[in-house]
Amino acid sequence: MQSLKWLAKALAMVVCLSVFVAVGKLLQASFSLPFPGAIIGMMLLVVALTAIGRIPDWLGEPVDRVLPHLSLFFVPAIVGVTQIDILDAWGWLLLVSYLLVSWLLSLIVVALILQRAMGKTN
Amino acid sequence: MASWFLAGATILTLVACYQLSLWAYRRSGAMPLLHPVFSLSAMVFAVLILTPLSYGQFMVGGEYLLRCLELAIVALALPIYRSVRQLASGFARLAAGLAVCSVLLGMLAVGPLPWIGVDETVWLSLAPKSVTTPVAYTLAEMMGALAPISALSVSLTGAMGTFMGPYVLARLGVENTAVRGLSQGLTAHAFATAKLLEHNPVEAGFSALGMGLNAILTALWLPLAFAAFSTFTL
Repeated sequence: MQSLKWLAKALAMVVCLSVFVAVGKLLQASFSLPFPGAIIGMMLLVVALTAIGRIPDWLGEPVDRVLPHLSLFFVPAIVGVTQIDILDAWGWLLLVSYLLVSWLLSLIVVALILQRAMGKTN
Repeated sequence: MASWFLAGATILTLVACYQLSLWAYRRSGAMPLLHPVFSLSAMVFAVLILTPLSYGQFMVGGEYLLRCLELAIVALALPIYRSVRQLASGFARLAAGLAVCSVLLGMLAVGPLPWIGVDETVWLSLAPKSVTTPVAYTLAEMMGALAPISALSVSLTGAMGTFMGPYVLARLGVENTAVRGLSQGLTAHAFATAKLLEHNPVEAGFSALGMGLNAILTALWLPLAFAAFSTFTL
C-alpha cells in the first residue's frame, strides 16, 4: 500500500514537471523567446508555488527524494565528450588549465561581490 | 522493439551502476574523485572502449536521461522557491548583485581568448560555461558555437567548483551561508547543487537559486551581446 502511494506521487510529480516543461517549450516556440523552454517552465513553477504559498506534498516529497541523485542525469552529457575531435591533446590541456584559472577568478570575484551585496542585510 | 530493449537495458544497468558507485562513494567517506559523476562516467567510458557497444547505441538509452534533465531543471523550482522565501527582504539588493555577477562571469569565461588568436567558435562556446549544462548547450547552439565544447567546459568547471569551491571560500573567509551557496551555484551550477544537496540542504537551496537566476540572466544578456557583437564585426 505504502509503495503504491509512492508510485502515485512519483507519477504525479513526473506529470506535473512534464506539463511545466511542455508549457515552457510552447511559450518559447510561439514567442520565439531567447531562453530554453525548461527554464521558462521552471520560472512558471516558482511563480505558481509563490501563488499557492506552499509546496504540495505530492510534489515536494518525491522531488526531494530524486533531486539528490541529479548527478546520474549528467553522465550521458559527459560521455558526449568522446565525440569531440576538433582539439588535439595539447589543445585539451590548454582548455582545462584555462578553465581552472577562469573558474578560480570567477569564484573569487563573485564571492566578494555577493558578500558586499549581502553585507548589510545579514 | 530492439531499440526499446536496448534503451531499457542501458538505463537499468546505468541505475544499478549508479547505486554501486554511490555506495562506494559513501563507503570511502565522500572522496571527491569517487563521486558518481566521475566513477560512473569512467565506467561508461570503459564500457564504450572495451566492448563493441558504440556511443550511438549507448545514447539510445542515454537520450532519455538527457531528457530527464529538463524535468530536473523544472524541479529545481522547489529549492529556488524555498530560498527566495528565506531571502524575501534582501532580494532586490541581491538580484542587482547577481545581475552584475552574471555579466562578469561571461566576461571572465571568455577572458583574453578573442585577442590571442583562439578560434571564434571555441571562445564563443566558453561564454556560457558558468550556466547549467542544458541551458549552456542550447545557448551555444543558438550562437552557432560548438555545443559539445560548452557541455564539456560546463562539466569540468562544475567538477572543479564542486570539490575546490568550499576550500577557496574558506580561504577567502566567506562564512555567510547565502553567499557561500550563491557563489557556488553561480560558478559551479548543478554539480555544486547536487553535491550540496547530499549534506547541506540550506546552502544547496541558495546554490540552486544562484544557478537558476544565473541561467535566466545569462539567457537574457548573452544572446543580446552576441547580436551586438555580430553586427559590430560585420
